[in-house]
Amino acid sequence: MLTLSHLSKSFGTMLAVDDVSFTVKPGEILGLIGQNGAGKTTTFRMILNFMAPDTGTILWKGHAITTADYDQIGYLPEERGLYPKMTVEQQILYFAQLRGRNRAEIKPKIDEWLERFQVKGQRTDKINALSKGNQQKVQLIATLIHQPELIILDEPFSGLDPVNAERLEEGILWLKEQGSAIIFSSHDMTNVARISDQIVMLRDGQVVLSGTIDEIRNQFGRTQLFLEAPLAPEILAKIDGVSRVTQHGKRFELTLADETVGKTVFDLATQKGYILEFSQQAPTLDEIFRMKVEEGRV
Amino acid sequence: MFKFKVIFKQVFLKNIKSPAYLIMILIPIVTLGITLSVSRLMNHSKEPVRIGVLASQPAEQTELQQLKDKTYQIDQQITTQAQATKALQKEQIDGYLLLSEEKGQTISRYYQRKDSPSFDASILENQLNQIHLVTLAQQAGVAPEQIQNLMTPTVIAPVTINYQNGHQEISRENTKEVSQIISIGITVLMFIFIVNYAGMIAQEIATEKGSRIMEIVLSSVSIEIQFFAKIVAILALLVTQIVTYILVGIIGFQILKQSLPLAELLPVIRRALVAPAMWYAGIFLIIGVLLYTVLAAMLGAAVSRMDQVQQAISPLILLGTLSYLGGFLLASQTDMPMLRVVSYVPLFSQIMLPVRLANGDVGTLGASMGLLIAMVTLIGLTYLALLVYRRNILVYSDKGIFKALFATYQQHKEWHQ
Repeated sequence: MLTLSHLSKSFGTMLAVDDVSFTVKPGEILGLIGQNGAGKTTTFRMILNFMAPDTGTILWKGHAITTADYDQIGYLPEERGLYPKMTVEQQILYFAQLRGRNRAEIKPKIDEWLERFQVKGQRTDKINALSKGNQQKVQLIATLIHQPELIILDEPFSGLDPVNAERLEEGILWLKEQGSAIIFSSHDMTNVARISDQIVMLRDGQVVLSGTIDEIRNQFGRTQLFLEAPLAPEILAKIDGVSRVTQHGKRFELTLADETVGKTVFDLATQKGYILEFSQQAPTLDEIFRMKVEEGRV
Repeated sequence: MFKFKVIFKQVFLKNIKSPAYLIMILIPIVTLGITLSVSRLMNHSKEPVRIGVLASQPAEQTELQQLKDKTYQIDQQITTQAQATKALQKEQIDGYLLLSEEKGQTISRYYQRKDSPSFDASILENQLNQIHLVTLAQQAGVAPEQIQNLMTPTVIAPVTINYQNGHQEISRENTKEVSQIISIGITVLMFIFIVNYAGMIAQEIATEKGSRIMEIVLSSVSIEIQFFAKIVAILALLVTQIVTYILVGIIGFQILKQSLPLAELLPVIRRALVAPAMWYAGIFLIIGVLLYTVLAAMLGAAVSRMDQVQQAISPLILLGTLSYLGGFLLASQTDMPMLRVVSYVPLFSQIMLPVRLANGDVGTLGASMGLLIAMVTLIGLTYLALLVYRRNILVYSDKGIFKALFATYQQHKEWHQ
């Protein structure tokens, strides 16, 4: 289990990480979200011992992370880096050896992983002969092939098309099943919502959201309403408690100040009988993300 | 130790297979090959000229045919002027000497073709004069022992004197030639090694840093293991280069000894190999390259992008060039007090002290002191380089290399306050 307690780090006068705490258990996925410069990479760097926190502690299995723990870690940096003149096999074996694995142990697994991520290329191909997307997949394989217990992925989905992003999701979920504790950062809330067990959102280095997706969404109440009824948008906008009305063809999307306003809208919409759609939901993660970013600007 | 080996092997194999490393190894071999070829051509033009010798008296003719020197070779078959003229025309000889009596005087004439190789007749002249003197002395009834004394030439033997701590030491043999070879060899090779290996490590580190591979590597191994594995791999490349030259030297000597007058070089090489200057130069070479490599690693870690590497290591190359120039100056001029002091300063001493030792300008005690200072500096600089490496290796800043180095200093000061 990885535990971060009251972690802070500043660079000069800038507070990059401010009193951050969270826990990731084995077999659990934590999605770390936030705008660029929110403190995600700095947090990763402190976990990896690249820099020391000013205050707070990081514990892995109850002790501070040392070089002895490095072999249990898989790390994918935000900016990818491979040796262009190495072959796919040499590259994967080199990084695996740096994680303390023998060539003989990793070599038989390479084809299986290349297949898992559908890499277009042979293990004997040079890295610079592969397309950018395939290079990224090789980098992911090199990060995960030694089946680390703690996996840190900085923006793993960036640059991947939806098909490959789905394959990566499958790969991450497979490692979760194997018992790995996984932290990843992403700007794509769809991926985050789909695979994260819990989410932490950072803004200006501080935790502004924390919990499971349901917990976070429920904090905001069912304030999003989707409606298809024979009403004019002006009438909907005049309802007390409706803060925004957006029309998409015959369909309306309403933002409510309070979820109890939904009943007033329902009664008005069903005055003349049957309506095609009435769906009152909590805001999506994407919407919550935007709201929190907006809050920070105010 | 396993991860140290993994990084060592990767750095060593990657560089040894690179065209740049092969070119670096080949350039001195090719240069030496060209030099030997040119000298061979020059030696070819210095082959002894083929001459005929003719005298009016048969006894004199026989005496002339006994003459020997490496500058000419006498064709014993030619005994008449007709034979000589014919042989000269057919280019069987390059010229012939004709001694004739005219009015009681012996006149010597040397006939040659217009295109004959140039022949320095002064040696032959001296030999003829000696014969003439011996004849005159015999006619004057001088005793054979006195004639022998008269003919013994005066030879000036050069003696080299070294002044050590006010005492003079006379070398048992003339080592000037050996000293010159060692001095120039040390200066040139040391400069090539320093510039190439310093550039190689800085490039190696900056490439990994710039491509973010460094982050993956440093999440797998400690900074110390990675740093020292790279330095040791560079040292292994240096040793490989030296061993390659030794092997090429041995093989080349065996192949070329038939066609080139290399036997003359053997005593010089033997003397060079046992000379203390050679061994000190070897140790200074390792320490010197390590000093520059460690500093280059430190500078390589301070850059953010690959294109900043040359700018970062330029002060180091400047230092190397200055020590190179110092080495050349000391090879010819040893009485410059400032250079004598500078020769003990690390980063300069690796070239200048072995040159001074080879010239006999400094003794083994002085060289040992310089070596000790360089070793202590190497330990200190390694500590400093590791500090800067740790602070900068994952920091990407556009503020410049020297600001990054200054930031390290500031941070270090804060930690110790």
